[in-house]
Amino acid sequence: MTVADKNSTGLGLYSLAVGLIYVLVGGAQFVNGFIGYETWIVPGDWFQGLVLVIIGLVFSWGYVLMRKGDQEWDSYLAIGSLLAGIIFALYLFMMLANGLGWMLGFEDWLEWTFIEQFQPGLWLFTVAIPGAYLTMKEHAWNRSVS
Amino acid sequence: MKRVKAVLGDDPELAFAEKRYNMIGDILEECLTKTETGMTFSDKLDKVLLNKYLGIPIFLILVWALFQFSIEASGVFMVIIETALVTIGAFFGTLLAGNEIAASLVQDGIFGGFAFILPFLAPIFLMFLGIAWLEDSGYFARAAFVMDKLLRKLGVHGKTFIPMMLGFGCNIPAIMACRSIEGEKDRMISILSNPYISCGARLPVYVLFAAAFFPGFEGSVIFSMYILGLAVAIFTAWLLRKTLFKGEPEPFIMELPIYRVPTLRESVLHMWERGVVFLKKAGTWLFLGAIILWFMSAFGPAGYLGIDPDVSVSYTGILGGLIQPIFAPLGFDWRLGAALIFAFLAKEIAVESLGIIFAIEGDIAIGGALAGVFSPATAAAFMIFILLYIPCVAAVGTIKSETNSWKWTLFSVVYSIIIAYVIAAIAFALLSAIGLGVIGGA
Repeated sequence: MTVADKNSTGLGLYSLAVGLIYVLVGGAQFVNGFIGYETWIVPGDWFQGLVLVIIGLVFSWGYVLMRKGDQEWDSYLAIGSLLAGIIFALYLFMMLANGLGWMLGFEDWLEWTFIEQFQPGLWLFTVAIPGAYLTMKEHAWNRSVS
Repeated sequence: MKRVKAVLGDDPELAFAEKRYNMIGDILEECLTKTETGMTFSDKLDKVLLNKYLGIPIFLILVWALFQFSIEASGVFMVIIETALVTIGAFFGTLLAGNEIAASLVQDGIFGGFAFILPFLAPIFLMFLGIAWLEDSGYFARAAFVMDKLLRKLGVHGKTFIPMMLGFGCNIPAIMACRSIEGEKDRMISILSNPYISCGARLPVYVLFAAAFFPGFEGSVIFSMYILGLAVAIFTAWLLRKTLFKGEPEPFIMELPIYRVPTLRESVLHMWERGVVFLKKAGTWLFLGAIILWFMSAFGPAGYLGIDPDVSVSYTGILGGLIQPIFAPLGFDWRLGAALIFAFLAKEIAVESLGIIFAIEGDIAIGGALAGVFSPATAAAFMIFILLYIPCVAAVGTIKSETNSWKWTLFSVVYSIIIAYVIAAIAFALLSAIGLGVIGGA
């Protein structure tokens, strides 16, 4: 019995909620990228926005399949969490690398601030953490993930 | 084979594979006791990653993440390498202060050339690390599977996508990998479409121009270059199938490996195996290229041109000037023209040659110098031309040996120049029309 079997509806709703949040924030970032509107929490970048929208769709797709009675719907929660985790790790690595440039006092990084690196893909992961935790807990992440 | 096909009513290769797996299934049925385990985690991942609608968008996300990882995060490491090389070059330049020509050769030629090319080790190694992760996890094979549906609609063999993915590293092993494609027509299509896949050697050019002309959007601009290369490769394959290699592609049979969490040791090893090729090239061809380029830029028919000379009267300037009229519609001046000629040896030499030309002219900060001379539209056209025109001399040699035909090699070279020119001209015209044709207009 999988975690999804034990509490399908709750998990399904969680997957839908995370998916909608990603789609909304990603959509806002996508639109901001086109109209040139910037806020510190949702900067404009149409491609990064599109990436978040796709991740949101993966999460939401799981809920749709759960409603249809598909036993394997939690695969979408797992992949959504994995993609959200990859994007989070990517932004974290970029933040650390740029932070290093700022610490070393390189010219191009003198005006670098933590806030400008605070991309939605970074902070949005907080809502995806429970899904990522459940995925990792359920499947032994050893060398082989069979 | 025709008789077998008539008897079986299916493609023989598919029928044999099906029979073979049925036999394996029967044997397992007899000697294994099954317990109900449901789908494995690998099966579950495949359900999403191979999804008809989500498969390709997820593939694009992962490739985009790969370029963000290798480009946006490598800037600081590039500056560290560049600072170290400039400092060492200045030190040796001081030691040779009594001899102007020797000091210029060491400082502007050798260390100047290295300072412009070796920093690109950072994005190249990071990109190879990312590729190793995708490969070791078992995802790369799925990418070929996902793209097969799209490629097959265009009449292209799904297996073509595997050499295409290898081409992101280097086109030479990728072209050689086309040997694994069974049908002769499919193999030729794979070989002739592979050079448009953007290899690691083109990356330094993109990094330099994207950072100078499109600050804040480097990752997305470079990602667009890779997607454009992929699109041109697929278009070329489609065109070849419709014209010169008519027929149906052979069936695509591939065993998907199980997913694995890549280990750091294996990934670093794979990254090193690929990255060291660039390092060796820097120590041999790029070193030699730096000396030739320095000589051609510091000397002209009038002899040594002195400190901070007018490079347009040097041998490099004369050579670039000869082809400049051809490239004028793309906004290229003699410097970009000369860079294109030298880049035929290896694409990274474009950066090295621009670095040496600008260093000899007294501009050390090449990015700023380029942005002060060219418009973003010219920069984009140059990146596109570098992406699509003749692959390096070694790749041309590999095409010759793999096709065993001068005719197809020549076809590949001429076709690549035409398609590069046409697409670069279109991009230049479109970007100029939206106001990016002015210097400093990004």
